[in-house]
Amino acid sequence: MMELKEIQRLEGHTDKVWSLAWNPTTGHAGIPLVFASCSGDKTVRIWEQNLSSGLWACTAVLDETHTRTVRSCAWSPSGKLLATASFDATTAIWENVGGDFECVSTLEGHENEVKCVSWNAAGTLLATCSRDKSVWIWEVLPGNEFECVSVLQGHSQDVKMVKWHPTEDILFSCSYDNSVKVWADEGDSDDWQCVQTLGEPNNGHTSTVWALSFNVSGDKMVTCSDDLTLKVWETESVGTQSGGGFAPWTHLCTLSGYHDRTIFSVHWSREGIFASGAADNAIRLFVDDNESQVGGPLYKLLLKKEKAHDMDINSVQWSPGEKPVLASASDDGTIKVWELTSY
Amino acid sequence: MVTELINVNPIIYEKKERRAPSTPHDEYDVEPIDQQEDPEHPYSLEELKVITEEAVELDDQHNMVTFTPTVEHCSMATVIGLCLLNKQLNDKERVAAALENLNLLNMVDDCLAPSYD
Repeated sequence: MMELKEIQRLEGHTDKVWSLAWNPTTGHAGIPLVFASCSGDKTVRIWEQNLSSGLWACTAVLDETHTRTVRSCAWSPSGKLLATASFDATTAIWENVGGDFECVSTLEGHENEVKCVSWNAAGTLLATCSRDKSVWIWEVLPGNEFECVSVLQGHSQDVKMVKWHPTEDILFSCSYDNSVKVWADEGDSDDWQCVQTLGEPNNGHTSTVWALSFNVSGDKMVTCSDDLTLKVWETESVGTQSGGGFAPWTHLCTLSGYHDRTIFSVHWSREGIFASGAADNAIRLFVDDNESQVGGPLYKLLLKKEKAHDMDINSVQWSPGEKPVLASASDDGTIKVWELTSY
Repeated sequence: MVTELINVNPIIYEKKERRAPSTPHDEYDVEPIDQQEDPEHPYSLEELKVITEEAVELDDQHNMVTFTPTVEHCSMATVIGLCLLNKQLNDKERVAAALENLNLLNMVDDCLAPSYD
């Protein structure tokens, strides 16, 4: 039997905590785990685990830059830069120099609230999305310069999340318009096009899509929604996506009945477990169901953690470390760190 | 607090006659949107032609409500929209962003304040 054991409850933010991001270069080779959190209190906090005690502490507060809610944060693959997206319509880029964080660039252009930010696998491109219905792609230039290379107009409502594919330069966006859109650079330089829309007509969600996540190999994706379902999608071949044409995504299965309020976050671990966090204050973990009936769900509930927080759970994120550690962020202003153990 | 009216003298239109609903009225019924009052005046949205029956389009998947503020660039449009659009109110992210607008927040507070008239 598996158990999600609470390791620590982290306090410090003075408003709801919207999002979490683990530094991908931490948690192995003797480097302590580090993650960032962002909040309605207009700040970003950096949290680090003490290697000897295993306890977490806030090591930095990034403030006096954003003037409104900080909605999303994301580390560059090198772990040296942190991008933060805010309701103040800007995205800030922070550089970590010996533990001190300095805002080295501010990306402006969106008309209103920026909802999410994501780096591609190579750290050469950044994507942002906004209530203005657009997705912007920025090229990372030397000297912490960023240039907008494409503005993607396709969604009919505000865009909740952008996420790069883990191995290919293919971008995914999910929206209040109930759809997930797939964007690819079709041959010509910076000529980004919507190559697929996953919507209601092709087994998509029937209400706002809040988040998505990929498995480690990138051939499966899970999405979560206001419609109280999780949907798993698959693609034939990841390799064909660059150069050999686009391999479309198809609906694999729908998981329903596991949350009774909006599912705000979903994240797939390297071990193949995906976690969901919702407005019912609960966390659910799902795994591959090798014994599933033909035509039935291909994933089963591994465990459920009721009352994981006192209020809505906005973000669940698995750590990059050797042990399966999960962090969750909530409207209750706290972050919780959990360890998946067997008993 | 709004100190002066945006549209001091709006045009008032006649209400459309409708047959009474066949089902008995329930205390939990939602008020018809065209009967809701304008934020500035003691007139319904129908009387001000902010909402008309023709401006509501329905199909199997969507409800489309087109509303027309009584003046161009009406600062009350957001409030009217929030009153009409339930999905937006159910989106806590949009609500959180809207409530960071102090003018809107003050207006909502005024709307929710108890009336002693």
